Amino acid sequence: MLFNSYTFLFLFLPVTLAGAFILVRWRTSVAVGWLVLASLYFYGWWSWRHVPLLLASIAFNYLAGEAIARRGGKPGGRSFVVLSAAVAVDLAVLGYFKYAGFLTANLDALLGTAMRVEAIVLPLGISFFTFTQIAYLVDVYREPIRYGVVPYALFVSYFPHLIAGPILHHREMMPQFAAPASYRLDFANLAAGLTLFVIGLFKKTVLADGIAPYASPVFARAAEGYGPSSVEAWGAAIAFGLQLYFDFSAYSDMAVGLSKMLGIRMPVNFESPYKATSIIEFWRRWHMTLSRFLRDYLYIALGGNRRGVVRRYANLFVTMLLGGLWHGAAWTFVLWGAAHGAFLAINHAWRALRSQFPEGPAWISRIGCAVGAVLTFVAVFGAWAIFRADDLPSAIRIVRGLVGLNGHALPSSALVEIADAARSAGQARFVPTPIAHWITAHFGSIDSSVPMGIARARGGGLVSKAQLIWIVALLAIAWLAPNTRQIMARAEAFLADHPIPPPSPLFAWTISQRWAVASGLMLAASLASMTRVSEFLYFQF
Amino acid sequence: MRPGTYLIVALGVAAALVGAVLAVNARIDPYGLAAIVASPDEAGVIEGARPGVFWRKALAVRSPMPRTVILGTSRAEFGLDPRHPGFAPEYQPVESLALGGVSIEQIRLLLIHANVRSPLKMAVIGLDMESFIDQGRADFDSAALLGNPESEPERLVRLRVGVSRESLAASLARLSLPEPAVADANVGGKPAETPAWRIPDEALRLWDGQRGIVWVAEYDNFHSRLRYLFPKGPSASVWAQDGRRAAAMRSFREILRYARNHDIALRLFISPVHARYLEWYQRVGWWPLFESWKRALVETIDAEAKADGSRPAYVLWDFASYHAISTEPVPMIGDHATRMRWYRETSHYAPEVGNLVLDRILGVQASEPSPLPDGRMSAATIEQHLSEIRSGAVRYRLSEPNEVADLDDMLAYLRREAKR
Repeated sequence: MLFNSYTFLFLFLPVTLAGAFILVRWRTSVAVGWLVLASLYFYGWWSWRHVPLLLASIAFNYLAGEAIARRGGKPGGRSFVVLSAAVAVDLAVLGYFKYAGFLTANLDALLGTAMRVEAIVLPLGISFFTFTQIAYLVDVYREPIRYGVVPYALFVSYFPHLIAGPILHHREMMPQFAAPASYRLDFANLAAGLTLFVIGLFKKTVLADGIAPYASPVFARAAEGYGPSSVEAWGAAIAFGLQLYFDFSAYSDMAVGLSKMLGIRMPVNFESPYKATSIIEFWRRWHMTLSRFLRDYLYIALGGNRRGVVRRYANLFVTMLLGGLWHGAAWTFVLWGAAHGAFLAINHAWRALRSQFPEGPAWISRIGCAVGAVLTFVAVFGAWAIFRADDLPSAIRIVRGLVGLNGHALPSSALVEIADAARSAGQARFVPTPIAHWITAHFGSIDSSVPMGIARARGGGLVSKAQLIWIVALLAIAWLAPNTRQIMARAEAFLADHPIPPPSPLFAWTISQRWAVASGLMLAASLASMTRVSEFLYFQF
Repeated sequence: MRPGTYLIVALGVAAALVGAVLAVNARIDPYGLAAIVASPDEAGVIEGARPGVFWRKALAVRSPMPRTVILGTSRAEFGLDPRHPGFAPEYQPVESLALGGVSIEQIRLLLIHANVRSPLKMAVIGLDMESFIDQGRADFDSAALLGNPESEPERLVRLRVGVSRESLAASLARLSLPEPAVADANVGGKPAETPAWRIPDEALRLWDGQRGIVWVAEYDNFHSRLRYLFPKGPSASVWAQDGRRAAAMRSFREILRYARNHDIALRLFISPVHARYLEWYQRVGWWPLFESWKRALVETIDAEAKADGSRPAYVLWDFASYHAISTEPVPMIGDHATRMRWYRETSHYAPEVGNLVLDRILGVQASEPSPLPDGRMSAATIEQHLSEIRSGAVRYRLSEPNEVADLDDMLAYLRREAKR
């Protein structure tokens, strides 16, 4: 079930909330059980076939966790064997569903094994619930902790986060699930949760879905063999980067908002990532719960920064490479992860080098920040083009476009607009005639070498005025507007380990008429934009 | 402000706005979806690129309900007239659910939808290779159709459409322009009252005559499929090499099975595109693909019939060949007065051709011999059939050197584009 569907909004959510609010009066554990059932129904809405898999995964990991915990904090020995076996089984299941086809296809191409794996339907959210539970097992191994089976089932299957995160940590969530204060009807929580949810819904249905049509065509054409020009490639990369941010952060906002309605706080997942002035900072702001997982359970497990500089960079690179592969079984994700691993290593090396020198005056620091922001922008959005490409050859075509190897020509639609504008300007004498003539001659004659039929047909194009407007508007929001955590600071809806500067009073949410009307307007605009099913991009990961 | 009041204001504002949008759209009904009964004559209206065409075809209520549907791409939509007299009374009324740009899977979903809504006796399907290659219409919403796993209740679909900003925009456009002009991607605009297949005078002037329009349509069609042009190596088994095409052939087989299981008489034909269009197939390296596709169709029909065993195989007519109609001359550039008789441009045939096609596949005995070839194709005759088409191609090239030169000119540009 999608958060941005009528069924969810007008049926599932009211019934689920009402059930929890009523049942908690009887006993907290009954409300927990109700939410487990609701979450399984939510998950099974797409395909009941995968509900047994989710249940089996929960049961298996719970029993494994119990077996480890019963050893009472004695690392090594049988606990380690159980932990290793359980993690291996989790990864094997994830590998079967997510990577079997990829592996056999590559082995086949490499060795000519003629192995074939029928297309396997990827169970929704498998990457998320597998990682959540691996983290739980590792923590139990490090420090035994035991939970009831039903609260544990809720921790894994909790519907706000089940499909696309945030990746929850049991230490943050289990005390809240068990707290008698949770699940109670509290209008303040409902008001804050509704506002957060509506902000997310607006980001998804109006902003992300609004720019989506401008992101896809260039990637589709690249998959068809077309080499986009630098203007087209950057237009598509930026449009996709914005679509992904507004889509994924929208899901996180909606998840936190839904949870807040139940009186439960969830971890912050995005904190204005495109305001970052370095790649290191970008990863502290983007998909923060995944970054935390990769840091705590992969990077540190590999040795982190404790084994010398070279090993540190190698660990960073491997962590990001696997982080890329986590997103999907394709070389484009591997390449994207490798690119970010390299960016991070370079960024850390630069910081280490810079620390050798004394701090300069403030203006140099400001210039440094500006240069860092530009470089981060280029690196992040350029890498999104690889991430989004349909396959490796398409990614190469787009990267060639990004670096200008396919030329810098404006698309024909823009040329037509420029030439028309120049003609009118020349006629109206708003622009000096020689300049208008030069523009007209230059841009108007660009197609003179092609047959007339084609020259006439070259309307359309891959970058349009509308795309430019969308990009400018969404970049302005991403760069200048406060993020949801800042806006909703007063609601205390997010779990976070660091403070964040408050926004200007204009943007600070309060229970006021102004915000009530704004929420109503955003909700109405979102409902009017829900014409057809629009899945979240992160569902495929 | 109290939190409870906050909730009431927020939800109240949203409800009021959504209600207002719903009321405006219900009053204006920009897509003609109101639950009034559409007249049988409207079944013959060509929707072309009218706004909301998908919703209208999916949701419009008709009475009496159709017993026959016409399915296919824009070629079938423009060319086949549901009011053709060849449809026997037991197969009437006939409704066209053909839609520009649909994939074969989307055709399958439309067939199921039509049959669930009202049991069908016949389906006429115009087959085009492009619908086995392309992903289909972007605005296609399977949730709005009946009989598939994603189907939603019709009221919910209508609600979704009714509160949408697209509907609101269409309503406002309708208010400002009672008879909105309809943009057409191929010919640069035509008034709604003009039959969609007929090219308006203004378009002829704009594109320097019908040949200009032919150029535009051909360029659009092939440039948008650049990935598939100029394939490397032999493509005899090309259908097995691409997952999407294999899936498309499965959809075709599902159509055959569904029709047989539900006693729907199928009339299948391959659209009679112009000879220039077939020449494009030759020149962009699609000819092996095209022949391979035809063989795959025949094999699938044969295999499905053998699996059933009790009834003969469906007949497949192939009109995509070189014959008196498809080799109609294209007016020279600058000729603003001459229109082609049989074609809108080389991809879309005129209703006159559609009538001849329907005569043939419905078994109508015409008083004069048809300029269309027999076209019947089966597993036993396909190689002979394909060989005759190849001979026709050779004859066409010898007799039309100007067309060959014109095509070479356009092709050189596309080849450069494909190499980029």
